[in-house]
Amino acid sequence: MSLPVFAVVGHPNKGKSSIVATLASDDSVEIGPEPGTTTRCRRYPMVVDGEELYALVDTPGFQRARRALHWMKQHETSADLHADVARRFLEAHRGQDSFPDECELLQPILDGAGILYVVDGSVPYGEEYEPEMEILRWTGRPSLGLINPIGPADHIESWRSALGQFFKVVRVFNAVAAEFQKRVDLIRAFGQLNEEWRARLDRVVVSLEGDRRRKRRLSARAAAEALVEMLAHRVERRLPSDADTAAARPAIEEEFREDLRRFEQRARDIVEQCYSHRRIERREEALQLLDEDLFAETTWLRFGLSRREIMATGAMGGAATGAIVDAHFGGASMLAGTLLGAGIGATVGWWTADRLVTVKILDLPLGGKRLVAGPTRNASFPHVVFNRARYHHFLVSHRTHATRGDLILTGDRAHPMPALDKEDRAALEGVFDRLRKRRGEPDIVGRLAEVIERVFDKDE
Amino acid sequence: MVGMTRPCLLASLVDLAVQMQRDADRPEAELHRRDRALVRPLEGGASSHRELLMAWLEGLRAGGEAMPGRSFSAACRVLVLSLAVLGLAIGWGAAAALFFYDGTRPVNVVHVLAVFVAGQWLLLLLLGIVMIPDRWARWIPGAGAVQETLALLSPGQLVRLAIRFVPRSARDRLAGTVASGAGNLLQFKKVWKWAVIFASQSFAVGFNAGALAACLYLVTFSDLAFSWSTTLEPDVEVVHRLTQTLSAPWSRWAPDAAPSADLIRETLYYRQTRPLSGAAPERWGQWWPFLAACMIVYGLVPRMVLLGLAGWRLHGSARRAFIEAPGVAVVLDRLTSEWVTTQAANPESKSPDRSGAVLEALEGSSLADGSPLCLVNWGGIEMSDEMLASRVGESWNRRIASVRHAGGRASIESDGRVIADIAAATGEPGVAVLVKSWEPPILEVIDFLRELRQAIGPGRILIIAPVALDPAGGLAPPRDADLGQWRKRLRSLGDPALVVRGWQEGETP
Repeated sequence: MSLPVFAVVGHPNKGKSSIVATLASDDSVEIGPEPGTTTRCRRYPMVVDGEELYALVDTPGFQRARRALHWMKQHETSADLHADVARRFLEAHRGQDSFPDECELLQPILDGAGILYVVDGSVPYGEEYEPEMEILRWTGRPSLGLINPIGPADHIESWRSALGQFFKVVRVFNAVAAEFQKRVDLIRAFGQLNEEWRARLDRVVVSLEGDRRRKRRLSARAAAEALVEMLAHRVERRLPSDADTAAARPAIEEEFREDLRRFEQRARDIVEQCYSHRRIERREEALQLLDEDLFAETTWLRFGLSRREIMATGAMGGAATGAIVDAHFGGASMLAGTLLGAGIGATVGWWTADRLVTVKILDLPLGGKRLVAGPTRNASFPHVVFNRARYHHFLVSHRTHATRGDLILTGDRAHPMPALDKEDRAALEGVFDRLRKRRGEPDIVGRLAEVIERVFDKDE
Repeated sequence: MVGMTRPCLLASLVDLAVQMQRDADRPEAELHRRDRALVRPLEGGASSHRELLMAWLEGLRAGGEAMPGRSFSAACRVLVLSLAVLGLAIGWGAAAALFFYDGTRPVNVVHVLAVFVAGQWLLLLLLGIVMIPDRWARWIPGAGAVQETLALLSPGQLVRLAIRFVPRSARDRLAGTVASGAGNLLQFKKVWKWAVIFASQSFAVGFNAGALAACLYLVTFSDLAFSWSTTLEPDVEVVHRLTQTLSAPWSRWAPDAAPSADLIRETLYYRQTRPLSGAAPERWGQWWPFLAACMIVYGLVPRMVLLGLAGWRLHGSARRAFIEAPGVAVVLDRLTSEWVTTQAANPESKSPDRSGAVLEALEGSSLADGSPLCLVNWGGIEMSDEMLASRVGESWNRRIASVRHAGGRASIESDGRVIADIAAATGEPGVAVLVKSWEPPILEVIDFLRELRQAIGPGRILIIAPVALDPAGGLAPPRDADLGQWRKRLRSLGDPALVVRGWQEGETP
């Protein structure tokens, strides 16, 4: 079975590279308003587990189609030898200055590639395209006409009727706006060009759909990890016992906010990498903290002892002393000594913990104040973070690789996603509730990722 | 490594944890490609996810990744063995101390029972509480509190204290390492829990075996005398009931190992009593079967059962953790999903700028007012010659002497004839070529302009007018971007008498 290869050809500046960028999910493709941006063929193989299933070839546009056709007509013998004439044309002009672009674009076609002829459906049909289409017809290769409406005007019907005279299959495909399913449909349509390619292209579609699902899974996981991290995050500062905690709060709050921003941006980067967007510049409003009071103030002690630990130590000491008393009464005291001792020990521990912070050993304080920012307790906060992640994923997953310009997530366009259905809302709230209450679950990230993935699936 | 057997499950689990940690900062695409290449040859051969993970780790080992699992597992085995040997020695020592008899004071069976039965059962009780799963501990009053309190006694708590005494320069790094280790422990919490219990029970089995061996040794090779003694009010009946209860498991088939009330009464030892009076000499030695049975039934057997249980649970939790631990799902996802790439293998080379050197002052040339113009419709702008002449003539205030067609559907020969005609028409000093602004200036039009200039000579003005069409089909000004493209490209011709002017109603070139 021959490998399906498709040469994307056409007039200069009609969106060939955009088509390739979108179909190959490759934002490194140079797309420019200037004609002749592409001067050499560039191959975009689709490789699945090391096996190449099909390939696209981006080509330069026709520059001297009329002259090339003129040459071919001059060397024409009979209609059945048109492909030979095209081959002779290539041999005669390869490496010379007269037809560099035509030679470059005809080479993959004469090597066996199918033809995807691209036109801009937003500009009027013109007769100067006819020599190009005629040359392609001479090659005798299976071909498909692709109308790519670059601008707002609509000349699709006139193009459809013109292309219909030269190509068996004609499709409209907007390279910048095409959703994933449309890309898949187009690849399926390639299979109509050659029966031999159909099975392999069906496999391509299966692999692409599997890969798409995996991208959603990974994105959901990244969003879940960030959310769990953000909801558990806290910044802690140890201050002397006589420090002014109010003065220290702004700096700690800023650090806390910056940490949350970092977690969120890391998840954004992962999602964009998943979808092979490497050049996106994001514009997004900063995440707002919703807690009225983010801070908690406690005491700390050297040697890593917390108030609770001191209390527990006191209780155990008290219980041990009480147990001796119980033993003395041969158990007749019904463990009253142990219980009483534990209670007294715990109380003393609690009381001592507060006093200990002011004690100094070798002029070093034994403890001080502990100022803790976070974790955020606001019930809306996880929903806000989730909605931001959901909107970002929606935009990234629907953005084609032919799109240039910033990814805007701010202003009026922020979070216009439809409401979640009842089941997803309940599942999400359940996980958030567990996170808020710090109720341990072995794989809370996995659980949250499952719910988020389900939402992402529906957004698709 | 050739001939190397597959590592045990615990070793593989350690390798898995280490590898996941190692991969945490590597790009996902790179990991996916590596991992699929490793397991793809096995596809269909691995019967379960566990097998697949094992094969993956094997592949990484073969690829040169350093894996500490085998060493860790060997160290664990040495540790468990060492603990058992240590237990054996301590147990022997403890028994030798408790069974010490130099003829002055008989061996007090209360001490033996306190250490080898009561003490061990207290420890077993605490261990039982620690072993209660979290989800059950919540419903048992006090169990959670005891678990937390016992956790405070963990030697691991000392690490935090130790870190404080490390020099500041190394403190952060050490704290990071400890935190990462704690993260791993948390990830495989159940496995570590059972591993620790297994290790502690191997010590306990050693301890009880050592104690029993010492007991039997002393009974066999020395003459021991036993008694029971306590400061509390001694009640023979209570002690008899207690010994009956303790010996219930074996009293039917080993009645000699259950002390009778007479023996208890006869061997009661008081401080002021003369040593070994009140009973026949052989009676003082008859406690040993009971004590040995107690040490076996209440010491050695429960510990052996626990050791077996811990080993079984350790294996089970390691098997589960191997495919259920956080992060493993991501690895499995990589192993079971196709690695798909559609991008070009190499970056795109920068395309050369075809516009060439930009020459300024092209716009300076102008045409004398009223002089006639020769118009060329390039590429078949859809408008009749008359309409085109009238629109252009009126707008530019020029007389259009002729309208000719080139490009588009016209042949190369026809273009040549147009050029020859214009060259011959010397009465038309200016030549205006109307081009479709939305089409780019391709080499075909550039060739035509070059040939035209060559034919008409350097003196005549050449105006290139990119035009757009309005929805009604009339001429309209081009978009700035389109006009800019034409200007940039035609400047490269370096023709001082060539002017690029976008169509603008009423603007005279």
